[in-house]
Amino acid sequence: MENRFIPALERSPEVDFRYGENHLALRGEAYPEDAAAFFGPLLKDLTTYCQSIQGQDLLVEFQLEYFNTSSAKALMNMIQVLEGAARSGTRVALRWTFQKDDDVMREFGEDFSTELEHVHFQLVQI
Amino acid sequence: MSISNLCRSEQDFGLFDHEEGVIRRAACFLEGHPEDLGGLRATVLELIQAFQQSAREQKQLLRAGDRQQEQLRTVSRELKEKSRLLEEQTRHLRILNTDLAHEVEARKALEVDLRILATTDPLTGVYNRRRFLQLGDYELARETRTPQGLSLLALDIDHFKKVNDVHGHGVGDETLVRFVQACSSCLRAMDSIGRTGGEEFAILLPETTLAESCELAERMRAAVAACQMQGSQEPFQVTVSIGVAQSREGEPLDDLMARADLQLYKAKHAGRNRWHAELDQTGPSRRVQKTMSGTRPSTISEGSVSACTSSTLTPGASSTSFSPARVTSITA
Repeated sequence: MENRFIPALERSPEVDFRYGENHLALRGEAYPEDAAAFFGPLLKDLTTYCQSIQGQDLLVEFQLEYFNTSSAKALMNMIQVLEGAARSGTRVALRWTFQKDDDVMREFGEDFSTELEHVHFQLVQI
Repeated sequence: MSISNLCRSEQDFGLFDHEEGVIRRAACFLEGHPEDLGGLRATVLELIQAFQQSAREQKQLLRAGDRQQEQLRTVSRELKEKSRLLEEQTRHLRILNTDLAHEVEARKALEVDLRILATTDPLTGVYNRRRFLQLGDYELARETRTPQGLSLLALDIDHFKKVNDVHGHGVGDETLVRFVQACSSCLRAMDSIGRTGGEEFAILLPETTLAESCELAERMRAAVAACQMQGSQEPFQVTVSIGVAQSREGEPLDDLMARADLQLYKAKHAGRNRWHAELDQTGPSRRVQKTMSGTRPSTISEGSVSACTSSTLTPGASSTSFSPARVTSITA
C-alpha cells in the first residue's frame, strides 16, 4: 500500500501512515468540519491494510492535543480495527502520547486502553 | 426503509460503517429467510430496529457534542485573547505607573528647587528678605512664648560700592559670597542669616544674650576683615559694620530691625569696621560702642572680645569701665 501523508491543518491532525514501515501516526488537533469525510478513507485503508499484514509487527502512534466527539468516535473505530487485527495474530502496539500536565489527554488514553485486550498499549508522557 | 432496501444499501466507510454493516447483514439474513423460524425473524427485526435507533441517537449525540465543543473553543479563544489584552494593558499600566512615579519625583525635586528659589538669595544662598522677615516673626513669636533671649544683627559691608566700581560687578558678587561664608562660619545651626538689601544682611540669634551677640559680632567683624578677597588686579579686604539689638517683650520685628539699623548707622558714623550695641534692658539706654582699628585686627579682636564679656555688660551697672580701654567706650 502507498504511504499516506496529510499535513496538519487548523482543524485536522497530521496523518503519517507509513505502511511500508508498519508505522502509523496521527499528530495534532482533530475537529474537522466533516469527520466522516476526513476519517472515512483512513478507516477504509486501515481495515484493508490490517488484513494484509497479518502476523507482522505494527506500531500505531496517537499524539493528539485535542479532538471533538466525532473524531473520538473515529479513533474508537480505528482502535477496534487494531484490536481485531491483534486478535487475529498481528502484534499491534498502540502508543498514546500526551503532553506533561495534559490530564484530559492522559485520561482519554487510559479510557481507550480499557477497550483493548490484544493490543499492547503504551501511555507515554512527553 | 424496507428489509430489502436495507440489505442493498451502499457501504460508505463513514464513522458508523460497522453499525451499518451489522444492520445490513441482519437485513440480508432476514431477506434470505422469509419463513418465521419459530419467532426468530420477529426477534432479529426488533434487534435491527433497536440498533438502528441506537446508531441514530449516537450520531445525534456526536453532532451535539461537536457543536458544544465548537462553542467552548470559541469562548476559550475569546477568553485567551481577552486575557492577552489584559496582560498587555497591565504591562502598559505598569510602564505608565513607572513614568508617573518618575514624574512625581521630578515634581517633588522641582518643588524643592522652587522653594529654595522662593526663599533664598540665588547669589549667596542665604535667606532672601521675604523669608528672613518670616523667620524673624516666627522667632519673635517663640521668644514671646518662652523668653530665652533673641538678638538681631544688622550688617552692612563698608564701602561696597567702591568694590564694584574698582573691581567690577563680578568681583563684587564674589566678594558677597566670600563675605557670607566668613559670617556663616561664626554662626550656629539655629541662627538665621538673610540678605536684606544689596550689601545689607541681617542675622537672627535665638537663645542669645546681648553680651553673647556682641561677642559674636566681634568675631564676625574680625573674620570678615581677615578674609582675603580676590580683586581684579590684586587681593583686597573688606570690612563690615554691625548693629546689635536685643528683642524687647512684645516688640514687632520692624521695631527690632529699626533699632539694629540705628546701631549700624552709629557704627558707620563712628568710622566703620566695628559693631555698635544698645544696652537698654534696665531702662535708660546705655550704649556699648565698639571701635576697631583696622590695622592690627588679630590682637585687637582678642581685646575687643574681652571688652564685651558679660561682666562688662551686666545690666544694672551704672557705669562700666572696660579694661582694654584702648578700643572700647560706653556712651550714655
